[in-house]
Amino acid sequence: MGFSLLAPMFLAAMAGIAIPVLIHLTRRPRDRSILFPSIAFLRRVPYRSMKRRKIRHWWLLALRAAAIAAIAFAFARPFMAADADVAAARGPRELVVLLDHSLSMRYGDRWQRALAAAREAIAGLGPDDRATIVLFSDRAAVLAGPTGERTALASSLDGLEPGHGTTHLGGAVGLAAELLAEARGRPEVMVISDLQRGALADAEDARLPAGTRVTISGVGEDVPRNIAVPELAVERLPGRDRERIAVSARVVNTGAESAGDVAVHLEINGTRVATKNAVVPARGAASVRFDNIAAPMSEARIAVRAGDDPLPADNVSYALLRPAPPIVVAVFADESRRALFVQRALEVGTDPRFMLRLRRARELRAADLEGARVALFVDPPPAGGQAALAAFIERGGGMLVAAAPGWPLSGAPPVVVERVADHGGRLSTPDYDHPVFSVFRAPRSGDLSAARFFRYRRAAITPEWRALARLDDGIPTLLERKGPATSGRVLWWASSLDDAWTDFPVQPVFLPFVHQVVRYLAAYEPPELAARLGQPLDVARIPGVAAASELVVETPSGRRVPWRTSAGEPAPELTEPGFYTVRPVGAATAAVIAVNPVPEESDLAALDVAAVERRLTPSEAGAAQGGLATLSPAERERRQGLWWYLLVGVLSALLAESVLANRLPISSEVIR
Amino acid sequence: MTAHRFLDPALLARIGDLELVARTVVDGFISGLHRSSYLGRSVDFAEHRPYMPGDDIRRIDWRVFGRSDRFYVKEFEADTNANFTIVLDVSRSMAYGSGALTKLDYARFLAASLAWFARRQRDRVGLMTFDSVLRAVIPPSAKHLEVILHTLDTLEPGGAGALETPLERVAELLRRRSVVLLISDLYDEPEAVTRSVSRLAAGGNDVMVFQVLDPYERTFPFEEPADFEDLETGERLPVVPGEQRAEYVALLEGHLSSVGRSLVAAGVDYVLFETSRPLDFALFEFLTRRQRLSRVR
Repeated sequence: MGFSLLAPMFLAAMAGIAIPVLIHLTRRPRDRSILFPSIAFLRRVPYRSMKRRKIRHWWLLALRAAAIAAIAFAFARPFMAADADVAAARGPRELVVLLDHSLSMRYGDRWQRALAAAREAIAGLGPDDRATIVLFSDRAAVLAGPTGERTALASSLDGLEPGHGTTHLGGAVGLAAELLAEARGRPEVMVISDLQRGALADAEDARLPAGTRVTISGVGEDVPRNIAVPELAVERLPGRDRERIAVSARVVNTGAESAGDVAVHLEINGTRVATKNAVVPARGAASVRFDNIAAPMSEARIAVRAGDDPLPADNVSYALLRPAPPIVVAVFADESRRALFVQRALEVGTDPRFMLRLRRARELRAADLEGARVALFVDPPPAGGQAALAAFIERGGGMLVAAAPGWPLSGAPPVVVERVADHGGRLSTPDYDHPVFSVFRAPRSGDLSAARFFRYRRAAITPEWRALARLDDGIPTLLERKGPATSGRVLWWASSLDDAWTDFPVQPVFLPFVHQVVRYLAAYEPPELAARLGQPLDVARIPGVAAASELVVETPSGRRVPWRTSAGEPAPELTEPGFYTVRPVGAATAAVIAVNPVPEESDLAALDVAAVERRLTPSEAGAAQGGLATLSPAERERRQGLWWYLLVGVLSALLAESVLANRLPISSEVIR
Repeated sequence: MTAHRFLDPALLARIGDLELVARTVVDGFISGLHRSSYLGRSVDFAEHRPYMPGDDIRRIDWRVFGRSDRFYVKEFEADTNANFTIVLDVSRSMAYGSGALTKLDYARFLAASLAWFARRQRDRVGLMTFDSVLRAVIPPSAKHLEVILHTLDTLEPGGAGALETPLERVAELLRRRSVVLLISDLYDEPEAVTRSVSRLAAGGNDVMVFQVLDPYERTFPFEEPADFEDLETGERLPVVPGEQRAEYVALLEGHLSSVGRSLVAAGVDYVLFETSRPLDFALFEFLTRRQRLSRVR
């Protein structure tokens, strides 16, 4: 039987022993008063400090100190470790090797050193020892074991290559805890990793079982420099002829030395089309922009590569640029000049581009709406066109009506409010959470209150409408109809879309406002340039393959993965950076997805090995708790019942103290 | 002279009757002295001296003139009708006593014994008690011994003590030149003590000062740290006797020697009594000191 403590922090209360010592040194019985003829001479004698006093009544002091010590020890909850536990602590080892195979392990010879460390650990197993090899990055999985077969364990490492995930120890420690919970030998965990800074980010709650011995084999080292391309952006440039693009990339250097003259290459569809040089400071970043590049007619695989270092996997960033069809906008106005401001605003759209159709509002026909995703009514639609418009909205089309006195509003026609006399009303409370206004939320993102509204219609808000913006007099200026999610969106604008009733069209915010309105009405989603590594494949965002029931996914390394979506198979995970192709079975064409490496893996700064070891090693208290957790309540109570005896001891000590204290010649009477 | 001859104050304390105490002390003392020459005060003739101009002619011994035809004046050993006033400090601090007797008890016995003793010499005896003010006043008289003994018997300690004010009042009340015996623990500044007593002496009085202290006051034998409470002011002070004893004793002894020196310098007879000392021994010491002063000129 051995002793251990469940709450050793209570031992700190033993410092309370100092209290009786101090009392014995400084004690002046407060109830003891000696009458004396005159204390005038005593007052002139300086009062001595306590430290020169002598301790008296050693027995009393010993009893009091013993009582305090016993109380502290009782609260520390001592318990007896069973012989079986002790025997287990001396038995065969149960080793779990946590082998990091994240992207950063590709740096230099880290992976070879990691494999060597794992093999060394396997070779060190005794005849009764067992081991399990767990591969982990952002997920953890058992590679081999638990087994005592050293050959099998070693051969499982043959041909193994690091992956592209991030270093997250939490999951691996959790898996190790599960594996060790069942084991009867001495639990041991060996972590072989480069211990990147974020390795412990998810390990807050990870706890290894009681008594687990943790060893860390750190294969990371501070590297002089590491170049990475964590971000890539593609911008469509305005142009009347062939579409042109600009590609921007951020190049970072996570090392401690500056990298001068880093060659940055732009590749489109595998062909290097441009190269630039950049100077990247130590622990800094540089931005490289390839401007005015002719965009391919079909979808383009864009890659930017920078530098040359021992970790090439993060030196490239990928993007897939698909041809973006313009949003067809039908603008209805009785006179073309009234649509001038809207027309000019939509002509400069590039991302997405807008295609305008200008029609007379009062001559609205159903054919005018065909192929359009958005209808803008500068003048109110005729009553006869309501059916065509309703059908258009039902199909998912979006519509904005400016200053219409009737339909689509219901109820009494909105009256016109004149604000010429007081210099017009101002937009005061836009709903910045709404997509139309969200771009104006940040400071200096456009002053919506600069516009003045001299005339507008006052509409009563019915339950089927909601106000997205109001003027300074509280009258809603932009209303949205609440419709079913499947149908198109309808907006109602209280003033004019030209300069007849307001100066809004000549304000700088008018152009982004119109763009946002059209994007919202068209339910426009910007195309995703690249997916993030580690996520499952999302076919809903890939045009052309969403409806296919059987797909073949080809990874950047050329591995083919069949995927039957109709059978409910889970989506394959994107585990490699590069371009995935997704092809419906039997189809001639394939969709492409770009996947980028995880930027966190580029930061190769390592954690302190000792600190990680301390963090993962279970505390003594945890060990004790863990040991007790597996016992039956009765046995648990029996083993930790020592505190009862200690409290009895405390009571005895206090009783003896009382008796002794009363026998000492200390009188509480007044002495004369 | 050995100590066993003297009366233990603790034994005297058991005698309830103060008069009996006084008589026991004085008679024992006198029998111990075998009526020696120390008993100097009487109507006995002392000597003749030649007449000097200014002497009272009534004191001329005419029988000597008849025999020798010279003028001689008779001188007597003592003034048999001297006033003897006991001024007794009954302040609260006098109520202290570490043994069977408090300082006040001791002073009470001392005063009673001396009153008895003085009465035997046919002196007029008076008593005044004081704390911070004059409390009881019994003027000197040949018939006041009973009253004085009764007053002493029923004395209770008073409040806080002071010397100057009551002694000033005593000086005013003493109309005839007196032998004044001040019994007190003299807990006052040496200058104040000297000033007050000197004022009494300045009035032509023969002043004696008996300072009474308890042995504990002088040796401070306490061990346990405790709050010491002033008997007179009620003020409390935390004291660690083991640490503070030496300095306290030095301060007190300095005070006592300062008081003694200044009183002696002022021509005042000063004796320090500890309540542990036998009363008749105190009387003996007193009388031996008084021997040289026993003449009344």
